[in-house]
Amino acid sequence: MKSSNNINNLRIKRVKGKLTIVKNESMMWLLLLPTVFAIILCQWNPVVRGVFTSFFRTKGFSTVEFVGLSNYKNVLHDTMFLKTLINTFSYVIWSLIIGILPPLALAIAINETVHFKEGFKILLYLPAVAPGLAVSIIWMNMYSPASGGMLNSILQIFNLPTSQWLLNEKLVIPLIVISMTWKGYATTMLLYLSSLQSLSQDLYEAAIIDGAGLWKRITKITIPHIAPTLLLMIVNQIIGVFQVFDQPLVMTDGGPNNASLTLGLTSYKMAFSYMQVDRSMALGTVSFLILLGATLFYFKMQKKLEA
Amino acid sequence: MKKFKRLVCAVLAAGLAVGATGCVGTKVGQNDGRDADGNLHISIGGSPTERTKGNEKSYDMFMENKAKFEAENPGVIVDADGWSFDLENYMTKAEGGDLPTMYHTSPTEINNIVNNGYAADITDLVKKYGYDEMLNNEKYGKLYMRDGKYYGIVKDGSLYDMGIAYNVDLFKQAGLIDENGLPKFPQTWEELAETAKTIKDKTGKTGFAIASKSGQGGWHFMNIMWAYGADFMEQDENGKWKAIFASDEGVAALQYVKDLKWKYDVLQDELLADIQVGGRLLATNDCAMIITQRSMLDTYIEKYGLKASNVAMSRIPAGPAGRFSQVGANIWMFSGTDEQNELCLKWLDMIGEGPTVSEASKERMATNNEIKQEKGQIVGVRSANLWLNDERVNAEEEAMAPYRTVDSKFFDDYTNGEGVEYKFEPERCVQQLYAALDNAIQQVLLDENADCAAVLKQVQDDFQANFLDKEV
Repeated sequence: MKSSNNINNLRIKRVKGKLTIVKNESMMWLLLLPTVFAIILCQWNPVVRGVFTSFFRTKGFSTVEFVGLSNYKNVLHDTMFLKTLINTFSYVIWSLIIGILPPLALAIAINETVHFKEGFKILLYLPAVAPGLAVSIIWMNMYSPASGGMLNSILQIFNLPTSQWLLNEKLVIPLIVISMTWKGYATTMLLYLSSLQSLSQDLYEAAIIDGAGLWKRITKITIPHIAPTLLLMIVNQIIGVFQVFDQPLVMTDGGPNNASLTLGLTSYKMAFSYMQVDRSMALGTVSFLILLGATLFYFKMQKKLEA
Repeated sequence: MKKFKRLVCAVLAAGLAVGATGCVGTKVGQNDGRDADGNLHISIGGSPTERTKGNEKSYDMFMENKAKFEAENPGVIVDADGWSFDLENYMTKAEGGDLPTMYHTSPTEINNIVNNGYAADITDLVKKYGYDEMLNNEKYGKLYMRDGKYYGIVKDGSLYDMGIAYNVDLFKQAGLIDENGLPKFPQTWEELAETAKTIKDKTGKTGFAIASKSGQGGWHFMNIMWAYGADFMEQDENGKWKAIFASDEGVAALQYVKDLKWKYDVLQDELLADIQVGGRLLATNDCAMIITQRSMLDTYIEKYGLKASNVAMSRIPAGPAGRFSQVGANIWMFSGTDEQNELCLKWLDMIGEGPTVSEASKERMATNNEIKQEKGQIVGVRSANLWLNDERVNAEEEAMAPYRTVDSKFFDDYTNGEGVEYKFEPERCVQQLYAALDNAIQQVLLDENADCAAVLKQVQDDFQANFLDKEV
């Protein structure tokens, strides 16, 4: 009997404890409510609807018949799916090879700069404010395979053979990634720079007194300090590049021979060129699940770094 | 719990990154078009919305027509809608009930528009206004009719078929001008390749520009495939569609395209090109020949400064199977209620785009030609004849005469179209077919060792598996 009373007391205490937490946190939840509502309405509503739609046959955007996994079967059995998936990963890999170092190197360089620092920041940030479509068109013209194309003209000055640039199936993805990097490096650079500027100068001064050179200062102080930002940027880049579609749409339309076709571009074409919204949603959901995996990986890595 | 929180966070983060869309929305006639005062609105797609430099006459004409129409139809308001059909935002506008009441599109899109429930059936209205008796349905009905029902009407003067456009200057430079001062039009596709080679050898300029992306390569290549005797799909006894273009004839047509690059070397440097590239090269005297329809020349005049006096057009060349040209047009489609759609037909009639002829319609035709003349566009070349009533046909001829910008002899071969058999797009998955053919063209243009038969077979198998087999 006594033990039963104890248990009841414990339960009452737990409930009271929980109520206290709710009471204490109620203001926090109240403040969060508009944001949560906005996220649900503007972000989750379309995502959930997209996933929902992927299980139906559609007429326009309206669902007309539940078809189970049929759209997924269609999408995954598409003879171009594997190639498109590989292409998409190829964009990601090339973006990691080409895209990681420039913003990091420039952030370190600016951080080390003594004079005209703000001027360099503005100059380097300029590509980020150029409209994406215009950037793609400018780079497309630079990559023109004609002998009068900008890059080919430069090659000719040095008596080098001209290139087919975007017409080369092996080059097309890295070339598109270069144009994406040019457009996107500046924002990443500023984030690295803000992280670097939060780093105490005392550490560098101590390292210099201990005889550490530039390379050692970068590898032993700078990189470890910005590692969380670096990881976040890498994951952001993977997520961003995985969805790439506007650059290949403008520059190559997925060609030559589908060599630059991506999941994003295929999904776009399904919805807007072929008006197959159901399949487009299924493909979007497949991309979503892959990105979900990447995001979980990011949290795991972040946990490791924090540890 | 902690793991669950992380999972939720991860799902949230990835979800924010994807942002897929999907909503259930409106269809045809969802909005009744009435404002708070009870006025009924109709909107006309592709209309001038403000008076800017260069479009003063078009704008003024629209406003005059609007005032007249609103006076004749009290309680009705005509709105100008600047939107012209664009695949990128069509679906969202259609779902949002934001389409103009009347807008024009190409026949390629009509199956998708009808199948997705965005097109109004205007059969009763068409009959009521007598279009059915005056339109040349036997010849062109496939462009705007489905299963015997009318879903659209050809936009006046937009009917076209494919031909070859020539840069006259380059032909002069290459000495390819006949005794009448006309370019020596190649009669066959093989002759076209030889002519292009002569141009390239004598002027150093591109002989022939070909499209290869955005579905436009396939769209143009289709005409060559027909000329070589290929067909694209057929329906079996069970009603299932089979792709059949990887035939010997289809392979021969693809080999021809391959030869243009690797045997004759007459194509442009920008091999991954849409039709705008060819138009630009033609306008800048960098290319001698392109496949095109007459109406596109006006676009090249406006965008790239092509001179109307420096262009000639001929009918499409012949292949082993004959001369075949695809017919197309801009089609007016309707998205309103029956009441609104009927007002749109009345509007067309009033502005002179209907089958009947009035003084007002004659005046409108003349003003249109005057505007085109001022813009340096081509006036004086008739498009194919959509109407059966001679009065309408004669009125169009008369309205052109005072504003002629080109000597019609440069277009006679094209407009007469002797021996040309007109074809329509295949019935199923047309955009996907064009994209598939683009892919075949790209492969043979970029790889000298590409095996045309293997390339076409692969493209056909993919098209069959990914699209025709999955048709609901």
